[in-house]
Amino acid sequence: MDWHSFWVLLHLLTFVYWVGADLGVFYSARLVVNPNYSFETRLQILKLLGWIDMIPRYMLLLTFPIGLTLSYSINIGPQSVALLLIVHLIFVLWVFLVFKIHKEEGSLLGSKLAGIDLYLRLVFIILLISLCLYSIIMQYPFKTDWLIIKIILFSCTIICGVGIRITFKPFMIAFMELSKNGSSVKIEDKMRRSLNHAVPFVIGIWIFAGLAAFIGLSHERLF
Amino acid sequence: MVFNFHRSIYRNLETHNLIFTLVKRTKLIFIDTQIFWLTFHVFILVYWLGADISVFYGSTQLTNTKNSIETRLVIVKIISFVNWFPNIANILIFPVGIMLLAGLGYFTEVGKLIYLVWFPFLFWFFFIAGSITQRGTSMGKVYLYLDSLMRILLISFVYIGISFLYFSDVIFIEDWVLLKFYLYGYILICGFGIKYSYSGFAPAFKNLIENGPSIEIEKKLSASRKMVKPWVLALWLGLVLLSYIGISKPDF
Repeated sequence: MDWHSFWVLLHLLTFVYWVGADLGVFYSARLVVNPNYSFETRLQILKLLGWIDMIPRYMLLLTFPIGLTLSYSINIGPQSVALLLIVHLIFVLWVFLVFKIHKEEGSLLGSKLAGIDLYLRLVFIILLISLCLYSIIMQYPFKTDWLIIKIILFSCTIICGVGIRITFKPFMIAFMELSKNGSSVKIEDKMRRSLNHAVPFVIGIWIFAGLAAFIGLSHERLF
Repeated sequence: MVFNFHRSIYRNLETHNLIFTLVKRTKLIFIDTQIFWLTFHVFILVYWLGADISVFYGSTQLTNTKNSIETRLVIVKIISFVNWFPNIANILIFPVGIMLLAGLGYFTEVGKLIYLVWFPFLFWFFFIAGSITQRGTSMGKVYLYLDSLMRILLISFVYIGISFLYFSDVIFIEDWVLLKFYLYGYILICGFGIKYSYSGFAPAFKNLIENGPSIEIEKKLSASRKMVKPWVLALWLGLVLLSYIGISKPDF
């Protein structure tokens, strides 16, 4: 078993299920805001969308420890097995947190956990960008330029993810109103506007993740 | 401190150089077709395997008796849209893979004629598009037949034609490349399995829309989905193996 290839495969699969699965989510969201469908149908599509959306969420988190392991195996990242194990453990726990948020959606615990997750993401973004800036100066912990660029691009995808979360919040509030009071022009407008505001961030994720993948594939020729 | 300051200036200069080389090399990237084909190859996998998960999960909701007919029709709409991507990826993966191999120095014997590999796949795209858009019509049946014919020809070419080229040393093919061809054939067979095990679904679904839900119809829908499941999982496994072989390029 070639372990390096195994990690490359895992890294590739996280990208595949992240960007590929996002397609179904993106298209389904357009149908949820269609007022011609009954509330029941829209609710079911929202549930379907929510289920599929969990896959990109897990993959976004898993791609980092896997990528870090890859950087360790080719000696361009931190060379500490203990650190790698800790990072893997943290991200497995984070995936579990995201799973729990999905399970507890709508409850008080769910919104509390979602708040923790948001703070964790902000800390993670700051940490990644700081490490990248430090690496530009000190060439540590990330030892090559292409890896630094990849991680900056990855940070941009997380920023976009936070952007989606913020812009999508009015959508969920409007959907709750829809469930209580039925459809109205105001509610429909609110939902549509919220979705439209999220679109640039969704496209941003695709572009940044695509660029990161491109650099990963072409770094030997590009750098 | 002074040393660190100088080092940081030096690193900044290096960063400027990096940006400069990046701009300079970006021009080269545009003509580096190998990178283009490699990126294309990866994105094909993304929109095949990645998009398939939405199709698969959506299909489980089609047989969910709690969902109304309207909900199921909307799910069909989602599946129909998303399924275009795996369908197109299925067609593109072979010619793009051939282009990649040509970039690695394969098929030099045929020279520029290698680009002719695209022709049958353009036809195949036409057949698949026709079979989807004309579904239920007599023309749709013709397209479906042509699509099946194309798949049979490809499977035959992969297992008979490529094996002949490999064992008779007409064209030099490494073991891992041969394995990739065989796996592609296996994926096509899985595609056939999906197509035929799912063929009972559309008439049962049409019956559901026209006559409303009944135990018999729901059973038929559920049975059809259960039959297709092993084929889908086998296809995914094939794609993952295909990727692994491409990454590791094992030497037997």
